[in-house]
Amino acid sequence: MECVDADLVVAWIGEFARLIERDASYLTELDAAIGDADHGVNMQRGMAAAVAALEGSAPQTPGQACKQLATVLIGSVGGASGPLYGTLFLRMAAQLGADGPVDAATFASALRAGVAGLAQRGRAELGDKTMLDALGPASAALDAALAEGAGLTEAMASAAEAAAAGRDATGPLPARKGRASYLGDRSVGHIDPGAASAAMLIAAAATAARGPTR
Amino acid sequence: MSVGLVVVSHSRPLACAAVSLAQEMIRGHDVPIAVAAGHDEDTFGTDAVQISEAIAAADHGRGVVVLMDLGSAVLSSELALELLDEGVRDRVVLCPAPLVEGLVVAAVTAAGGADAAGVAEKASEALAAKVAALQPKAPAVAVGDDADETDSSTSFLVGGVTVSAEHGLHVRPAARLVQEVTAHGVHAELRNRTRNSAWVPATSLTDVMALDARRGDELELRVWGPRAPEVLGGVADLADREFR
Repeated sequence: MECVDADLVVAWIGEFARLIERDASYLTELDAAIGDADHGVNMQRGMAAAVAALEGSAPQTPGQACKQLATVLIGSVGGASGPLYGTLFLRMAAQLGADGPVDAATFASALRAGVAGLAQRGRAELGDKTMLDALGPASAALDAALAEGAGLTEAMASAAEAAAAGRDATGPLPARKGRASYLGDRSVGHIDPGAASAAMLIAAAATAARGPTR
Repeated sequence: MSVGLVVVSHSRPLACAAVSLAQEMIRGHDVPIAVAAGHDEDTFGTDAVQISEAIAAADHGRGVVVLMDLGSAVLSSELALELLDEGVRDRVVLCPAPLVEGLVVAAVTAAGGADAAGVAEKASEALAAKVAALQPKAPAVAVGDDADETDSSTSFLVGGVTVSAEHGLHVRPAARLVQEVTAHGVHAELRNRTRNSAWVPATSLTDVMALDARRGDELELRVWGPRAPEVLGGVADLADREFR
């Protein structure tokens, strides 16, 4: 049975950091259109710090890895994405507990708990043009695929597709949360930078699940 | 030790300057104020870990009131609560007051010995004086019917003071007056007789500032209880010193 262990979570975080690094200027461009043009830089700083911290600490469980990532992001991202991503991973860590490798269903339930925490912290709902518009559909797609008997790799791939579709769907929406909401209808036509980085997060998970060791 | 205060801002220089401003109002009083602001001296940002540490540092058992600037300062402060031990978390209040006005009122109220809920409540009303000052002037309203006042007149003493401070009872002299009254732990009310204002609690900085007392205005102070003569004397002395 496929399982999620600490190494897989570390690989996921590493891949997310790689995507952020690669596309930081794209994220900043998106943010320049409707925010304060710092999302790419902020995430780049946070994920570089996260990779460095995880290299030094070698977490033993998926929960530990998520907790460490949360702590680093909270302390180094700046801007609202720090506490938001921090809350996502803190709640995931709480749900994963101290267990060693967990099965795909447990991982999916942790993601669900993390996304619920994020929505609560940001007081966001689906359609508010936020990170949640990528993460909510991703979590739902992961649950649905696993329920239909898909393996972890396949289920994460469909979660990544849902996240990308959710990200693209933020384009036509007016922003209702965060800095972009000050722009109201002028935010229409721009993809939400938070949804864009969140889609990268799920794409990274799909890549890690597919990874060479699996 | 009083209730502790924590200032959360994106900018460390902004937070430190706000603290200096507030501390001027409470000279001689020990109110623990901790700052959690910026990633460093020059980089803007808020950090929930830093905030939770500041809360722990400002907490001396009587609770902590957290004042924030905007956006992620609020998110990070909420997350900081999650990072705290339950025992501490229960005595922390996240206060919706505007940062600068709220901090000044919170510091004065905390110095007066109020609990965390009381400090947060007063701070939340901190904009009232500014709102009143900038509103188009309405005719002054005479308050309280005299019959009502005579009912309780046996239990309080009334004294008059003239506002001598050059710029009127602005925030610093008002804070000194509030401190003087609060230090005695009495029930006291103040009104601006010149402007025919309502009686307001003399222990509330926001209310006292809303009296809009200018130089030369006659104020009336009424104080309940056996310490009334002492309080009236103290305030009269303070007025003689131009509320310094």
